[in-house]
Amino acid sequence: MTNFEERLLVELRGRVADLPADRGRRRPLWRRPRLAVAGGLAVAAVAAATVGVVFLSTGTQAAYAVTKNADGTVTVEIDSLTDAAGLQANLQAAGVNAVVEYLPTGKMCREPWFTPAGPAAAGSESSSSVGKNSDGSFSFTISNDIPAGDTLVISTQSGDGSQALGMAIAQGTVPPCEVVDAPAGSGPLGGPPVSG
Amino acid sequence: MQELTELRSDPDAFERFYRRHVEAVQRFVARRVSDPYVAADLTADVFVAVIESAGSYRRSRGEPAAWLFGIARNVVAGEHRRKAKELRTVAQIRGRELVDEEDLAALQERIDSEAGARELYRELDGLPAGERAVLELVALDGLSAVEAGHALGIGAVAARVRLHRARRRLQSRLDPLDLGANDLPEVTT
Repeated sequence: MTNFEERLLVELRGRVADLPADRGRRRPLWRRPRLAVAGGLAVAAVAAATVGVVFLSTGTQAAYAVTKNADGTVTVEIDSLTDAAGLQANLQAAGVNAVVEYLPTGKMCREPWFTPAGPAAAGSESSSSVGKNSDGSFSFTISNDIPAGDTLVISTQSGDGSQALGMAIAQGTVPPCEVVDAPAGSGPLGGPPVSG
Repeated sequence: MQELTELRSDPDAFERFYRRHVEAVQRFVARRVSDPYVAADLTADVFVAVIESAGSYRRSRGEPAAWLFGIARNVVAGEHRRKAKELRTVAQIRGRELVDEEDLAALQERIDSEAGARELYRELDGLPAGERAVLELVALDGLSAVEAGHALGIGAVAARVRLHRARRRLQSRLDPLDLGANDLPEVTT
């Protein structure tokens, strides 16, 4: 191999050795029981530009892929913000009690929408890391220790020209989203403007 | 071949995979970019993505090589989109920093030898993304339609249909394009 190939191998071996044994135990995206908001480049900053790949057909525009992993975690790849109901159904089928809500730009669910899970749950490893892939899609892995009865909330929206993806864990079931106008000047998901 | 999750956890397993495929990945990249430093960055990006995505490989999706090409295609396509948008990227491993003068010559040589492929790569601009993806893997990288389907996570029939459409589109638009279209697999669907 060339010098470059050898050096790259050393770097990559180091990465493999540094990876935690359990993907589900990577740095949680959110610690507090509220919607975590991340948009556009902000996601890349949070996730250190996680590089991933999405096995979705680009022609027929499959919107997402849900993969149940051998260790009980579930990997989700979102290619486009369409077919929320289908993603929700696929997550349910994979054993994840989830609510998926995609809202048009400028809209949000009326707050308070759901009861966030307590700090204990949100501070556990129930959460997941999220990555914005190089092709603009999102991917994240849901660990298998979301408390029984709680609901994973995934809410996405385009705002200010950027795609945003928010996740939280709700106590119990999540009431239907009552779509309202997001306040003027708010960022994706009706939260504060996202910079970056 | 087993599942590839061990690539995430076993550096030795990763090294075997890397040694087996690193040349093919670099050729793949050289068929798409002409800057040796960008090529080095992308080669690093592809293998970082391999580690990240090892859990997504399924035997039912064909050989690991096809899966790898699917990853490589996404990484390179992502780079082109970023460049178009002039977005700054945060690379996990900066491949170019691992390149010395000797490497540069080897990288450049590989790039020079793939000039024709890069010309074809540019010709594919404007094709619908799904059709382009299949044609790219078949015409540039020598995959069969079925393998291209594996790489892209689509079925063999869908891959053949897209290949067929892409060929027709190119022939009507770019004729006479030296695409080697006659060498492409016949569409039987």
